[in-house]
Amino acid sequence: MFETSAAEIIFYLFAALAVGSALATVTRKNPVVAAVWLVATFFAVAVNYVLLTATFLAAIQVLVYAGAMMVLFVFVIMVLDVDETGDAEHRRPSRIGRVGYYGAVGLGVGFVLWVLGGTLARLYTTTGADLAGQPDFGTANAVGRALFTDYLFAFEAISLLLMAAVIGAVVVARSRRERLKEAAQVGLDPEARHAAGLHEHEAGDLAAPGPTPEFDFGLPSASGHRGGTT
Amino acid sequence: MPEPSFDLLYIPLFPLIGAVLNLLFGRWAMRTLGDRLGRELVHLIAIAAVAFSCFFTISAVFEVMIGQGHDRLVDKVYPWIVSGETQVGFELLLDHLSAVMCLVVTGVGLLIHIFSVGYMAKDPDYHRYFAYLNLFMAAMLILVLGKSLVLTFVGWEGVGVCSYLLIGFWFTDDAKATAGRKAFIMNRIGDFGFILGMLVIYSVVQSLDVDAIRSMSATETGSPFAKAFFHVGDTNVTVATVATICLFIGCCGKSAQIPLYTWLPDAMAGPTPVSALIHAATMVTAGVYLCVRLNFLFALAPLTMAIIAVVGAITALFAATIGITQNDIKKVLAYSTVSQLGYMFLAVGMGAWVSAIFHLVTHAFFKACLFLGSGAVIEACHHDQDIRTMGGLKEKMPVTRWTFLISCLAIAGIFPFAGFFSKDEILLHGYINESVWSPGLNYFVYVAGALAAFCTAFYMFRLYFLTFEGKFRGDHHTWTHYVKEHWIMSMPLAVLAVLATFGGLLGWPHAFPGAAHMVQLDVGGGRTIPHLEGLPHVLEQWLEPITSTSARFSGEFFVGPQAKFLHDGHVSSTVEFGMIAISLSIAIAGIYFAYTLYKDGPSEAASQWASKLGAAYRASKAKYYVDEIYDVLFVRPVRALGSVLYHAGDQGLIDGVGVGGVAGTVGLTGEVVRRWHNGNVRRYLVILTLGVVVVLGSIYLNPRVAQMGPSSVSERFDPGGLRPTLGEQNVKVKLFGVFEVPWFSGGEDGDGSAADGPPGVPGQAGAQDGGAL
Amino acid sequence: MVPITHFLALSGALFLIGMCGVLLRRNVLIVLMSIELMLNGANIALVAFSRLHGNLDGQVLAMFVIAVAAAEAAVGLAIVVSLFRARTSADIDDLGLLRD
Repeated sequence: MFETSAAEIIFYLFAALAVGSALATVTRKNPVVAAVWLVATFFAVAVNYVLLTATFLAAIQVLVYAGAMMVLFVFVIMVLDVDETGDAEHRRPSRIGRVGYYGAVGLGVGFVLWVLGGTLARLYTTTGADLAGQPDFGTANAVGRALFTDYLFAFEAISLLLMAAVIGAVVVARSRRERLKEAAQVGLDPEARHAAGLHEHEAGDLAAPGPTPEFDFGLPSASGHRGGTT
Repeated sequence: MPEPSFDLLYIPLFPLIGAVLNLLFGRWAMRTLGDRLGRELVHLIAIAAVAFSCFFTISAVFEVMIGQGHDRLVDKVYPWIVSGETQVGFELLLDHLSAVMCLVVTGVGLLIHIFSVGYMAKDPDYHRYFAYLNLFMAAMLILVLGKSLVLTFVGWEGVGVCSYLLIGFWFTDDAKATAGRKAFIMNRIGDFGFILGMLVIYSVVQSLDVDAIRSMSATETGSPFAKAFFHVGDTNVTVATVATICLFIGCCGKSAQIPLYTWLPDAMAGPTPVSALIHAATMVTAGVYLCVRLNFLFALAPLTMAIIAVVGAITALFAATIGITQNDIKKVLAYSTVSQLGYMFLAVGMGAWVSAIFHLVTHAFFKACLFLGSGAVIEACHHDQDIRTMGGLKEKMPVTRWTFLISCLAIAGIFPFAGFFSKDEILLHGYINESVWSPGLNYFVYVAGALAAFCTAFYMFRLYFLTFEGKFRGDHHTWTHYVKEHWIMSMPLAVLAVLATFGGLLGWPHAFPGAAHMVQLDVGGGRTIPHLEGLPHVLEQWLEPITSTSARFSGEFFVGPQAKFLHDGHVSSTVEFGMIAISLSIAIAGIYFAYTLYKDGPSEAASQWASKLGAAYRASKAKYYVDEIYDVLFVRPVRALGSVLYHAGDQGLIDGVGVGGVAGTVGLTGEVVRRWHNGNVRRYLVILTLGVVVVLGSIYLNPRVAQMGPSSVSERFDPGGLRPTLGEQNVKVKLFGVFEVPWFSGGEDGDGSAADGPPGVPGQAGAQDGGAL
Repeated sequence: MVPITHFLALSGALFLIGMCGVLLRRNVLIVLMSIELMLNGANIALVAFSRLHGNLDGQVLAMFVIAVAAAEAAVGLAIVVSLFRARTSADIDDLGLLRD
């Protein structure tokens, strides 16, 4: 356990870091920069977990969030090569639409602030339960035992969800070329091709392969805004 | 003697199986086996089913009941309805009364099945006809054998359905289909009364078992039926009266009594053997059967008895006067049936249960014979039913003619044919039984019955003369190409004619020579035993166990002489012979009158009489305009109400607001929501946010939730009271443990603890919270 | 020691920032990151209450939140890739175009 003063210092430091880097995350135009700030947030949150004697969760936070997930983000950003002006407004909604939208956003933000204010207004000094009887609170041992006894069903359900997510991600992210190839292999009839999002005039993609880019970004877009960057 | 168990179930089961077989495979058989062979199979199945049940009944009655001396056979098939205290068993009861009915139903039913083979030979729906006929037999036997009124009601409804199906057998003819509907609806009106009556009885007995009702009716200390009262206005009416009146309404519907009789003449739209079986011999007598079955209950209700007697007498006379003027051979017989059923109810109302059943039996014989004879005539005349175009048929169809004549003599009440005995007995009882309720009733009943007897003799012989005597008045082609009598139709006629001739021996009058009387038989050694010698009144002895209960207390509640008469007494022979002489002369007068007017077809004198009677004749011919009156009084208002309900209620409310409203709302909602569901993710997000704000905000603003805010949680925090998650080998899988929200569940606990004050939670904590808010 | 309230305040702040990001940014990638921020804020609250009650349920729930977040990120990013292939755009307003 930390000494009281040290714990407080660490908390305020990392809380400030978390809030600051979170702000930076949502304000940066460049997704890559935003992602880096997000990593900083995750680390700061992990430190807060340690302060709350959730050591195992802190480790997971670093491994899964800051490690795996951020790598995924950065990989996608790099591969897609999204330009920095991704946030530019190219279709301005009507005046009423904008007023309504920002009004709703303001309402949501105001509500959260109100709840937060209500919480903070009742400042109390409880720092938590006496854990003398639970020396292993928050360790991998304790959390693991809880996971595999009380929460076994939920745990299994989550594993199923993860598998479904992996499969879903693979299916959703397939390129049109891959989908066409598959359609040709299983011999889809026109209707099924249409249902699979393969329109007739695009069927030529397979017939005349030609030089194809890694990803078929170069296709002329129907709506005609912003061409590809490849 | 203990009641032996006997598989009575087979009696209704065989016809039911026959019906199922013919319904399922009849058409198939007629198609695949060829028309001739298929028909053979169909009617063999049907007749065999009825024959089995007939033989089974005979063996049960004669071997087991008479041979082994059992009074009652009971078959407890299975506990049918078990609901709390209420237990209705599917139990069949063969006692002396249902034995009589079963024999009549299966016997006459068998003959009519055989007759139908000839009558329906060319009908394309042969299998359907026989299936319905078998189904009717099954339902009728369940009605008769039911030990509980509920089971009787099942049969009651079953015969109603079969009646409907068979009246509308040729349903492509709209008039016939309508007649079927009319019969069904009028029966339903009566059934309503039956159900009410059952409910009233149940409220007293807590059971609908006939034996339970009997024991409740016949308690020595007085029956609860007669002690409990309904308050009608200022007067008190006994439960027995209410129950029996309700039941009698049911009987009115089923047995075609005023005011619910109009369906029966229309029911002649069905095939003629159906009219013979259902609408003359068996189903329509179910009401009489029910009354006699519950005679102990009816005997407790003198008011009901008087009503029944009056209704029966009026119906007998009323229908007989209509029968005089009808020209459709089946309509005459139909009104005759209504009239004869009136006689039976007259007998029931005067407490002459045995006479009612006696007349029921003899009527089944001669009326079935008459109907079948008319069926043969109709068949011969190429389905012409108008007696004005008949005549002289005795040359062409001798068997039919003779059997018809015998039955006419029987129904007119000529000695020694069956009707003489039964009708005479009814009139006798009508005369000598005095109702305590209305002292002069017996004279009225007798006069009405006697007048009806005259009318009966007249219209039956009018029918006979117009059909069989004189010269043929139809077209030449029909005369030369008439359908010859076939043995399969003549045989049942002959059997029924024999029964109509000798059926009266079942009830040999006490006054007649040779009637049974007690003698002291010397058995040697100076000892004598009482012994019955001579011709007994078989039916009266046979039904003694049935009527004994009511006879025992009928003196208390009902009539004086009748109880004595029924039980052991005789009226003086002078009175009985006098009554017989009057009846006979009335019948002979009726026949002679018919002879003078119609011996050679419709005579001048007949039309003179018609014009002399004028309005009365026209009214009778138009059936007293009862159908028209009902049409104005009931049918049109109901139709108008139905129309209003259809347009406003069904089309407006249910279809319009209900079905259409739901569809419209869904459609409108879809139209609106479709515009929101535009794929704009940002808008989704905003709406989601607003939703969260509303839901969580409403929770957060809830005073109860606000009360269990963080401060109260912290103050009441008690680590010792929390569920230990660790340090225990708790391997129970917590299915939805994930959904436990610590804040709210903790708060709920705190909320409850404020009231209950468990250890560790100071009571002041809640008070402080209350103060803080 | 740090009062639990302060952790809750931090949690709320992260949630709020994440919410603003989700609602106000158009770049799908940033929106996804903002969602992660919101989930982290919620997680802090869960862990804080877990500590408050000395009950591990909150931490276990946080574990599940992380797992679900991982799944969500995987599918979300796949959708982004799909969107970018179709429209050469990572604009959230173009997501609607994927429906047909």
